[in-house]
Amino acid sequence: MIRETTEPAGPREAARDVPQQGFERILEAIPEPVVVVGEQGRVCFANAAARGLLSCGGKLLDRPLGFGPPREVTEVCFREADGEARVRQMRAAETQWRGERAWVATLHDVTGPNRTAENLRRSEARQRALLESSLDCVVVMDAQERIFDFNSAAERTFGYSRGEVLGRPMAALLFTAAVRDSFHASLKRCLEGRLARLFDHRVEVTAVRKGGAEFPIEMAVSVARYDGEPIFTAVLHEITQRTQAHQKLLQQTRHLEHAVAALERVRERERQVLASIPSIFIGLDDQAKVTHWNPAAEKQFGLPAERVIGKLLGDLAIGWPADRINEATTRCSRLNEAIRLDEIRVTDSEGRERVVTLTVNRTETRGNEDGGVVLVGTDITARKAMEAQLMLAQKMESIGQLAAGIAHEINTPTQYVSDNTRFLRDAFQDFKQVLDRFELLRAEARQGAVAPATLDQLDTFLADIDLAFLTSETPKAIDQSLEGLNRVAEIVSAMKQFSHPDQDEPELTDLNKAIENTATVARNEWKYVAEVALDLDPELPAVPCLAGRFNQVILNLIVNAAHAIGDLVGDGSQAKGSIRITTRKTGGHVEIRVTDTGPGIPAKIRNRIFDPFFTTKQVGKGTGQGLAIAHNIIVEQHGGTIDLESEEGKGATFILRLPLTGNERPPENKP
Amino acid sequence: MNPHILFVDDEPNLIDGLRRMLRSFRQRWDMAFATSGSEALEIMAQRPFDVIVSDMRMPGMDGRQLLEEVEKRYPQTVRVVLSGSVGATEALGSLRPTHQYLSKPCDADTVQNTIERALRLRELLPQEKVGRLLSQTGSVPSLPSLYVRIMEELNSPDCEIGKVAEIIACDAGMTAKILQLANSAFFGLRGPVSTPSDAIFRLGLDVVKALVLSVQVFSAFESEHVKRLKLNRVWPHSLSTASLAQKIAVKQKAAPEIVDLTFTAGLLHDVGKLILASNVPDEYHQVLTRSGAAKINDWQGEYIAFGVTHAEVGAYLIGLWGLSDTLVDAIAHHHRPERSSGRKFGPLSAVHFADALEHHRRIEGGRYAARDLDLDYLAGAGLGSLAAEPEALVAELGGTKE
Repeated sequence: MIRETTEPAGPREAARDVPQQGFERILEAIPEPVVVVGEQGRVCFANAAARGLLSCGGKLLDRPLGFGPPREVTEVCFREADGEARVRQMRAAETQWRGERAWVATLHDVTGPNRTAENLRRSEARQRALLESSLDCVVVMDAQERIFDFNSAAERTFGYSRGEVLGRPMAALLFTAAVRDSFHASLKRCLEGRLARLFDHRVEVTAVRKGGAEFPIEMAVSVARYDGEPIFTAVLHEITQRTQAHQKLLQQTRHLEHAVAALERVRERERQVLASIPSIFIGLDDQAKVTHWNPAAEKQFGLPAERVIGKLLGDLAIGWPADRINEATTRCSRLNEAIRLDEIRVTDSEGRERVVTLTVNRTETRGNEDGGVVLVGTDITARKAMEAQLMLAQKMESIGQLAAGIAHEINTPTQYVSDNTRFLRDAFQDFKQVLDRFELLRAEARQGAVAPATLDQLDTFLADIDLAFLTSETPKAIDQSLEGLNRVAEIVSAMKQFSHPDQDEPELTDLNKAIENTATVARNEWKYVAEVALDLDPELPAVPCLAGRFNQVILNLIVNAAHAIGDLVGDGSQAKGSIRITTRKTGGHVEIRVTDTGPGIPAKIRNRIFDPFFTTKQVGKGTGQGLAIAHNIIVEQHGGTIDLESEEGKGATFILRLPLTGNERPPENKP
Repeated sequence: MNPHILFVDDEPNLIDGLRRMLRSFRQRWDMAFATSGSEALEIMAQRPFDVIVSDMRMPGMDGRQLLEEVEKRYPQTVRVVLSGSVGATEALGSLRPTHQYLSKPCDADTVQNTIERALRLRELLPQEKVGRLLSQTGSVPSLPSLYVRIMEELNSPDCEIGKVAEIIACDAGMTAKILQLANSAFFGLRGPVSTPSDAIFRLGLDVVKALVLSVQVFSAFESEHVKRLKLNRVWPHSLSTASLAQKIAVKQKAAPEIVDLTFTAGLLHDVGKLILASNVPDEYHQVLTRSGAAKINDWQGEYIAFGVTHAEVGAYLIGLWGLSDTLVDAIAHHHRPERSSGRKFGPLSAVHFADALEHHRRIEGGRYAARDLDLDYLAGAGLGSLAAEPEALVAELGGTKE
């Protein structure tokens, strides 16, 4: 707020405050400069003498005088209206001014004329030094834009000497035509009292050097009045370098924007990829908080991404073995090793139990030791179900094949047991007749006379029935019948043992007995082409084993061996081959060797024989699952090994090794 | 001289058991026992055998190889399988060289009946004739066009069991073979079947396919033989006879199983002609030429030349293949029914009547020749009034259109 001191207070205040006016008039009449200073050192009143001193456009009024709240006597120094800097002694006394606390002060000149000139010279030298020391260009001009000061930084920047520019119009000399016009307009608006943008803050304009080279410059212009005349001080700072840097910055920004856009695209792509893969994908940061949760994970666990992102994995309500998952993620991020969890049982959102395979991997983070981890999971429920079905199907296939063989094995003894029984019935009839005749003979003998006719008849009868044959054959018929019945009982019992119900947990099993049983039930498969020799270690310890599965493996190996030998001897031109099964304890394992004298397995297919569906048999002779399932049972389910030794033309040996301690693979690999 | 029977099985206990069980036949049969195919062939090389009963699965030479060898060397020997196998593949594989198939365990009566029946068949056909006229009895060839049709149908992805049955029921050879298989011990556990369609449904399409396509139980005549031996007349005649005979049986209110048997008997009654045409085509051609020149019936010509007619030859094979005695009887005596021991109405009566009517209609332009009908026999079988007016019967039954 500006108020001219010369103007009296507004009519309302004047009317209200008549003594004030009188007081002002008194002060006005005092030849000594008198000012009234308000609380913040603001000049509230200056008498005519003081106004002469302070007449920098009245601006001193209502402004701090440049000295603090007046003390009683103080010395102040300021440039007075005549342009001279003077030191005046100020005496101040507290008073009331228009109802407010104020100080009335007289300004008594204590500066002699010499001192005044000296002060002025020193002041100007200081001002000049200040001007020169500025790193920025300083150009001072009057209201007509004529230059009257031009510092050395300006000389260096614009290429003109101070002498060349003094008195010349600034804008015409130093700016391009476009800048010049707006400069004029701004100055004009400024002189008219309207504020122009130009003078509020720094502006960037294009300047012209001596010789015409244009360059960017930043300019601030301030205005001051000197004896009522405005003077303009322009501070200019060449920004060529800054502009170049700015350009570079702009370019970098653009690059950055491109990079950000590219990153966004990558993220979008990543999002789409994660959304499209059927696998479960869960990303965790180094705090084990969820960062990624793809639709497959949403579907699997019935939890939408927005409900899990940012939460701790361990805190999520998922029906899975959380301890194992957490342990795996911790171990993975600590040891930086990929961890595979083979069969995780997960209860899905609909409460069904699913089987999932999870891999936990550390994410690659450059220069960041604490990377997160990703969990990638695949729902293998269908595959597991299929595997189980396949295993069952193969078992059924073997049993179906066995059933035919067993029926054959049973039919043969049944035939001869029934034949023998029939013979025994007939023989008994003959024996009975012999007994009848014997009774007759005894009766006659008891009476003292055996009729010769009776003896003759007996002789004829005995010759007729071939008693010698009957007496020699009857015991044989009984023995062979018993043998046949034992045979049937043995097969039935072996079959019962063989088709051991599927158990989940291994039980200590006598492998020798299992092998004997299996060889017995498979007898019909091998007996026409081979002899089976069992060389079983009587000291063999019991092994923790899924007996039904183990039997299936031995059966598959025996049947394969028999088929292999059958291919060689099937036409009857060669002697039977042999299948030898040995058991031994070796270190911590039991070793079972099944050796055949078939044609052997060609080297080129040896690495494929355990592949599912790989078969060299004719259609109808096997599904090609036998060895694949044997491998699965021995390796996956028992933690053992299955190997092959074969020399083409000399046969093959399958070597099974089962750990005495049972399956020691991690629990996730157990069936 | 007692008939010679050879039993072969690789299981010594089984051979011992058979020996003991069959001891009561020691007065009637001259039996030998072998425990391998090679031993069996050694024994057969020393003396002729009427019947061989062999196991199928044996180490070294198996039953099929043995029987094929026997068929080749001793065609007159009746080949019976006694097998413990339950697998269809094995059973089917053994069917071709086999006359009869018995399953273990097989009771003594069945073994005995089978052997005695085979031996009885020799009353129809003396053993020395078998080697000459029936050297190849694995199959009775079919009409080439029917053979092509059945092969096409069975190979087609849209194969229908109904169509298969329809085609087979047009052909005596196929019908006989299918009935043999369906009535064998392997498939025949549910009682006998007597019509080709029942047989096919009993076997099922898969088995029929396997039999025809893999085991190749069917075969076809060379078309040259068909032409030269006028075989193309046999098929329509057989079908018409079957149809007419069936209608007669229905008219006589015969039991359904008799009606079925009558149809099959009609279809198969001339199967012996096909056997002769395939086994001795040149001789048979001469027989037909001479009969034609002498204006006598073909069967009379056959009798002059071979000492037997197609009726006995056909009946022998049908009997050997294990089809019912009723069929064997009807086929064997269809020209001279008075030779049969039966006198009541049955397939023989109907086939005799229908065959004569059909034959004369076809061959002699529909005129009825009384000399080929055994009127006394027909009267005894209750067909006397029909036989008196055969033309009227044909008209009434509307029966012999093709």
